[in-house]
Amino acid sequence: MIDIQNISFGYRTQNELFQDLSLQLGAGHIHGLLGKNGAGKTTLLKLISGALFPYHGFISTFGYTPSKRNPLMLQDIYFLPEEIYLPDLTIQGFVKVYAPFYPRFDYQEFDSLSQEFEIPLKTQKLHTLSHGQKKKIQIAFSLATNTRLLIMDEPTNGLDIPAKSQFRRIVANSFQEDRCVIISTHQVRDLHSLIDHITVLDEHNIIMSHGVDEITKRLLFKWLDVTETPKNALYSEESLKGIAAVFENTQQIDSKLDIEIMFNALFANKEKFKELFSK
Amino acid sequence: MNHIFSFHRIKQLSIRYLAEHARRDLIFMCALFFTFAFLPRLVGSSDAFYAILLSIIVYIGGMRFTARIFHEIHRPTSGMHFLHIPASRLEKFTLYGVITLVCFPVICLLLFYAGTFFGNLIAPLIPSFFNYEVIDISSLLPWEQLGKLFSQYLIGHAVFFLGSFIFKTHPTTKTIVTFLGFAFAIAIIQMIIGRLFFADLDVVSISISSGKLFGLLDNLINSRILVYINYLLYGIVLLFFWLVSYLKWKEKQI
Repeated sequence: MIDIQNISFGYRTQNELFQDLSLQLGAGHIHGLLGKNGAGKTTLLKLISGALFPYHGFISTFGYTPSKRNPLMLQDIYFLPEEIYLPDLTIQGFVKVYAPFYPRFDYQEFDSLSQEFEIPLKTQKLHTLSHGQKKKIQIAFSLATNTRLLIMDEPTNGLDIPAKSQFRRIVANSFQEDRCVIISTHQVRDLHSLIDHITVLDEHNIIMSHGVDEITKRLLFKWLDVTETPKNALYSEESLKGIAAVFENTQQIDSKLDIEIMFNALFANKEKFKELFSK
Repeated sequence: MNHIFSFHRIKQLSIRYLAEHARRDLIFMCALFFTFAFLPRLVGSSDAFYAILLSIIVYIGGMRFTARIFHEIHRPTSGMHFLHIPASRLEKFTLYGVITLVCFPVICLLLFYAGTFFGNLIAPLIPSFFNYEVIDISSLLPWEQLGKLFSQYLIGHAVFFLGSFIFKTHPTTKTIVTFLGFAFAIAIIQMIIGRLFFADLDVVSISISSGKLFGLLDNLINSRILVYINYLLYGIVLLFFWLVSYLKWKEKQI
């Protein structure tokens, strides 16, 4: 669905953010895009959607070149940015004006998502709503558009605790096999049990892009008692719950992926991970 | 062709524009209507004042409106929102071009006639405040004057439309300053060229005043052709500004 081949990009020509970056993202997955602050997550999402143009290389978003901003491509993409913008309209007015741009927009789905998110009355002006409420409206609208590509940049920022679990449930429920969802976030715990493919950005490039199944096939995640010593662990960290450790999964034991521990383990052992995943 | 230009999407974009700007535009239109109806009568001006007032509003209002039409693309949040609206670059450019180039002056003109007509009805009722003479609307703006007004607006619009893409903040002021800067630079260059190549400027001006130079031109091309050349140059300048505007818009990144 998304094919990125050897792209280079930087906000200043002397200081390139991406050099020769390549990445493929397929449909039927919820992709998590992770990386430290300033790694270029938002920039990569903007390149995929056509808001920015690469210097070199090419990007194909379901066959279209995003920089051309073809309306047939745009009607199949919804970009939910971190800093949302909503015009001075009522919720009803917003839907009335913007829904016709998306041929597969489902009005009933928007209504049911609005109810689930406890969005206030439709006649209320968008400007009078809180940041969290605005975000909920944008999330509900983005899911109701039924676009093939849904890009969410830090979608859980500004959501309260119940809304975060609602968000996970709603995204998982409205997921379809022909759809590709890319979620970029710092708050990896918010995406727990939601994403099934992880891409990690670091120092101008992709250092990991694998499915959750593939990761748990190669890595074993274990919680040890504080008295235990994590022998042969690739990475371990102590917390109040005990010691979280990551091992090489030599015996193909099933374990549950802890994204945060995996992320920290990856940054502590980049070379080892590279070797492990290239086998 | 559907992916480049579709009237359905233009219609949707127009609905979006009206929904988001209706309140502001209605307030502006009401203010304009009452200005045309009562201001000339309040200051007790002659018929010529009506035409001057319309020109001022079309030029100043139109330039400011045009320079700010694309302001949303310069802010990261609204820019991202606008770029991702499923319509082609040409459709967005065309719609905003038509709104500023056609809709604005036409609405001003309609409000001018409607306001003046309304003034004719109301002013006699309160003669202590207003000049209550009935204004002959048909004679206020002769076709020739109207054509001149709009042809001048066309050039001004093209300049400020380009300014709306180039300047992220204060586009009106910055476009005016840049325009004056260019005019000043051209004048300086002309002066330097004059000094360098036509050192004896008096001789040149004498030869022009004696009609030698124009006499020579007149022999080569008649005045009708000069008019056509003038139109052609006018068209080229307009096309140049629109083309550069479109290229700036096409390359816009957020």
